Amino acid sequence: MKQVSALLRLDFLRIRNWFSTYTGTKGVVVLGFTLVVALVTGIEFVFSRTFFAFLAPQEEFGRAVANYSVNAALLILFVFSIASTISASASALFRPDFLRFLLTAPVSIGKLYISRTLGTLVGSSGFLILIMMPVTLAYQTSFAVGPDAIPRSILAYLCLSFSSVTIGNLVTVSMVRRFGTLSRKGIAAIFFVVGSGALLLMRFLFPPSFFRLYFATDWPAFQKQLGQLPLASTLLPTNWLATTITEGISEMTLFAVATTIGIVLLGQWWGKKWYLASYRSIHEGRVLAGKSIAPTIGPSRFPLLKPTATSALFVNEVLMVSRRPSEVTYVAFLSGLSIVLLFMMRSVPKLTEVAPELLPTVYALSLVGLSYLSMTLSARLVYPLIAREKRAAWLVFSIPVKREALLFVKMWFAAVLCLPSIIIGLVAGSLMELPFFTTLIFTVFLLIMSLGVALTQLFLGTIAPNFLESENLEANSTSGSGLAAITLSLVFIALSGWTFYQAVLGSLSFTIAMALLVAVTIILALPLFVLGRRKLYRYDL
Amino acid sequence: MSGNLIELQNVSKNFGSTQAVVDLSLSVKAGETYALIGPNGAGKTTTVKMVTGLLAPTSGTIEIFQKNIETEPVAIKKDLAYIPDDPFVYDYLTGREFLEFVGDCYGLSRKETKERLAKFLSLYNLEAVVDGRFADYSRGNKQKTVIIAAFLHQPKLLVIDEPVVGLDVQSQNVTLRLLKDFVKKGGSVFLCTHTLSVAQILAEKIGILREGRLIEEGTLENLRGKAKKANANLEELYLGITGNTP
Repeated sequence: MKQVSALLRLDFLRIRNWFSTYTGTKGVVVLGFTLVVALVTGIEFVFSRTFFAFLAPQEEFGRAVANYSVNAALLILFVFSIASTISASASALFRPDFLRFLLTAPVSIGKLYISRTLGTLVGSSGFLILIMMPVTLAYQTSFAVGPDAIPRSILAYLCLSFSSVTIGNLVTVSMVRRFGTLSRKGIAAIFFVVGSGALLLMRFLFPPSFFRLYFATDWPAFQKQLGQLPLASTLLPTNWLATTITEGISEMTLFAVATTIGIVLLGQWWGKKWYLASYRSIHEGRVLAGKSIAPTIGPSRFPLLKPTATSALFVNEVLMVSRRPSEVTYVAFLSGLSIVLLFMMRSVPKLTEVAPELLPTVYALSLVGLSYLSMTLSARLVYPLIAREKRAAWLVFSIPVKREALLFVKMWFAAVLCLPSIIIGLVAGSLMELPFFTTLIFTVFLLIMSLGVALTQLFLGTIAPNFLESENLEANSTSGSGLAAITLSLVFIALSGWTFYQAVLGSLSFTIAMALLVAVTIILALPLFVLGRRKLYRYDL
Repeated sequence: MSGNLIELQNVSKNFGSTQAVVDLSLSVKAGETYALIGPNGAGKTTTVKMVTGLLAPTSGTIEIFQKNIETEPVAIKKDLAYIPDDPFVYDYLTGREFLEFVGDCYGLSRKETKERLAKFLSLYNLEAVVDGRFADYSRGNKQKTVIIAAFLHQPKLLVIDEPVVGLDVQSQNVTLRLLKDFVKKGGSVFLCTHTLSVAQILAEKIGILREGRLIEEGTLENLRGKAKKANANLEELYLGITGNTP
């Protein structure tokens, strides 16, 4: 126990020491993050409250749909919590440099594994409770459920978080242990698994019979149809958790708690059994955790590019993403989320019969949602582009090219990352059955918004790079300028979404809306570019 | 026109309130090897980084090839190569990919890069590992790869921060031979090191830095003369000058 607490103290010291320098600035960063989180959870509460308040007057029908929605939200969260744990745990479990020391110290592997996973558990549980609590509060206030719903919900979210994080960590450890280098086939396999998994999940949550519920006229028929949906199965642990939140403590709660304890114990036992083997396999050159390589995808495989400094730097950026499993997994995770969003857009045309007045809002929200995903991609891959050159500065800043060339290459790379938004925009437009011209406008908006966000992230990451976290891309954007980049991006997305909404409503012509968007993008990006370009020559590395 | 390849005039570098280098002036002639030695934290690496243009001086001027490093960096860097003390390279590349990357950055054709690489790889016995991922290299192999990268574009000036740290004895000999040949052919070397035997073997001129200030400078014979120790080696002289005589 003493060893585990000593190991956990390392994390505490890391946080404390982080605060010990530039405390004022970092206090502002923390405050800023708190405000952003409060804003996001506040918006989430408003949306959930509106949804549940719409259902509440519809008596048992409304309550049944609300309960189903809570159940669906828990399952989605469970699956994505596993996916996000997999994408993050490669670094958390294997990358820290002090592991090399700890593995040679007289500390058992089991304790080491517990200490590494406990940190993830605490962080993930806190985040999950934060994300889901507004939904609970909205449900509680809309359906006049007693305040005991809150501790019940916390219990349910803890079960969800503990089991999903344990499973995610276990999958990472076994993947690291099992698989070889990340080849093109491996990358394709990851994308295939995530993509088809997301589709299956959505199909499971919203089968065709789900949409027939609307036409059920009496309660028994409605209840029967609802009971036949796959998600209503009483064998699903998420169903036990949803019942705990919506109905109260029951034998289902006991099942859920017992299952969670079982998963955690089994996961710890299995994880510690494989942990050392996985760690060794990394150092034997077999795998992963941000270190693997695919010799089949090398600079020589880009025959169309002339061997110049610019093309070499560009290829290097591509390889940085394609050869790091943690980045590939993250991109796959975001692709999965995009598929989920696109799948939900399939239902938008049904609104023309039910509530056509909501269509402009839904179109604008779809655009905002997709842009938000693009922002999370940029925050992870584009914002740290300069910071991650810290240790390579001896090379990239001593080659005979102007430093701006490096920035231009990174701008090209950021632009290339935005290209998939063209396909996503076109697919979204066709799924929502938008007219061809509106689909085009939707796509151009999405492309420019993604580009604006990516450039904002890049330039702020150039003006004030987070060199302290240059090796840790996940944590890189958790700096003052990272927060500023996220906040600016969110404001930009909101403004652009509002412009598009006005255009769809007909209050603005599409030409004016487009001109406004381009103008805002230039006004945002140009000064940041000028400042960033100047700052490139002033790093003390 | 001084005719010097490197010319530092009254160079200072501050990091916040810390003075890393104070009013440093020194020069290196063409075909000369200059070694900067001194205790930890003396400002050696900071000086080397300023010479390569990685750090900007707080005050003073640095001229390389009679051009100012702040105003004409690209022209200077074409003929300059830098070997850092921490041989960090992108861990997702293989050694060969990294060296090709460096060749591309300096505008070499792939054919040139391939031909030059063949010679260096065999010299350092790296053929067997060069196609493996960099993350799996030993410290020594990383250092060798970085040294090869420095020679690849046939520079006129080599700036080196610890040339032989992490290398096995055989590779140390190869490196010293390479450096001597480089100087014999007209190249110049500006290096900083803690390995005083290397400084003694390679350098015509030695500068001793302490707390950011150049406290002594000259050839080995000059230093011996000043210390009045005719047969002393560099280590003995260094300890005497820095006041750490055992």
